[in-house]
Amino acid sequence: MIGRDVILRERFLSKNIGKLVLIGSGKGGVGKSTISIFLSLFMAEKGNKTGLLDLDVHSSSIASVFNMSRIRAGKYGFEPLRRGNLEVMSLGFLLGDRPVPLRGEGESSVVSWLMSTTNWGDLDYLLVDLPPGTGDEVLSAIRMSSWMRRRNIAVTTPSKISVDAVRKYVKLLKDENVEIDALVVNMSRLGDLKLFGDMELTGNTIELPFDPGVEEFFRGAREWSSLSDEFLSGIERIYEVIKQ
Amino acid sequence: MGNVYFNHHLSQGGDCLHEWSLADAAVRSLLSFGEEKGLKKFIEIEISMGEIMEIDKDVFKEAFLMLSKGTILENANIIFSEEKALFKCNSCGRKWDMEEAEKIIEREVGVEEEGGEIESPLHFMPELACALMRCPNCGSRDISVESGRDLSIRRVVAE
Repeated sequence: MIGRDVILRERFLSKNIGKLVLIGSGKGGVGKSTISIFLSLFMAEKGNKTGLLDLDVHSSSIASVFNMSRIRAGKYGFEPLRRGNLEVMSLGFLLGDRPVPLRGEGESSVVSWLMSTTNWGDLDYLLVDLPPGTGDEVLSAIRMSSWMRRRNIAVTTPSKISVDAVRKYVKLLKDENVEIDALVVNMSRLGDLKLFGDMELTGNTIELPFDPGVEEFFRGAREWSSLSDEFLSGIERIYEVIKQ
Repeated sequence: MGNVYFNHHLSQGGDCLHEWSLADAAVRSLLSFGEEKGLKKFIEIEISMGEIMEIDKDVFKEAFLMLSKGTILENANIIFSEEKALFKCNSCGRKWDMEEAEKIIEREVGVEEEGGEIESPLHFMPELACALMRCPNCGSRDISVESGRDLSIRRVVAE
């Protein structure tokens, strides 16, 4: 008997992916997708062949940033959106803005399927924008990639509610023997880090300031110059951690 | 005659995609299975296909034969069977089959295949039924796929 995980692992292993980067958090709305998008654009611009996979199946937001009229199925899977060094896949490309009321088993299946049937080219990095929380989709993604070289980025905001949620996320990963390589505090202000108290983290803590230029970027400018130096410097620091 | 193995599960819930992609998964899984069991040769392989996936058996077989060339799968007899589709509304309990599903699938979204045809995402990934149709009785999107979504290897004869 061979279960689905084995089959998907074989399919996923057949792809040439240098390093997988899991970007997750304890709750939604903390900026995972924003960070994933800017990191992927930044890394691609640095000359890395970079993939970005949106696994937030219920509320995919990456698709709305990268326009794609219709997804294409080739001989060996779904073809991701390709722009220069960047490749992007999202369930949103497939379903647009339709509601996706998946239950637990369905969520896991969608995640495994998206990971294994996207026809990625040879990639230096594949960034995975995980759904919020510690549910089936996150566990599936962790299991699917356990044999790969990977980096794990946890994202939070300075809000106590978000910090409490990210503690649970970090604990879950530790219980699964997954170390956090960097904690990103998004929309941070100077001094916010004291909120974390005695939180045990192995890795770097990187602050990303609130930057109105982010929204300007998404709404049409699409130019790095709309972003602040502090924000870009934070993105670069995350990239440095991923490279190590 | 060789040993017979049953219910070698290949995929669950549309983990694979196109016929070539599915055949690739089948070949890889069978080769792993053969290695694990120390098999020298496959004689017969029975593959069950979920109705929802709308797999073209001829294309699948062609891909399977090409991908299995030079392996212990080469020259095995391939037998196909079909698992009928059944959808269930978790709100009112109504059940319906593929014929009825085809009438109610929302066609605004689709996947472009190599020949330019537009297919419903449902055929690639049956779990997405909840995003692509509503219960014909109560209109709910809380839909489960009870059967017809998997590709599995039911039986293998090997030595």
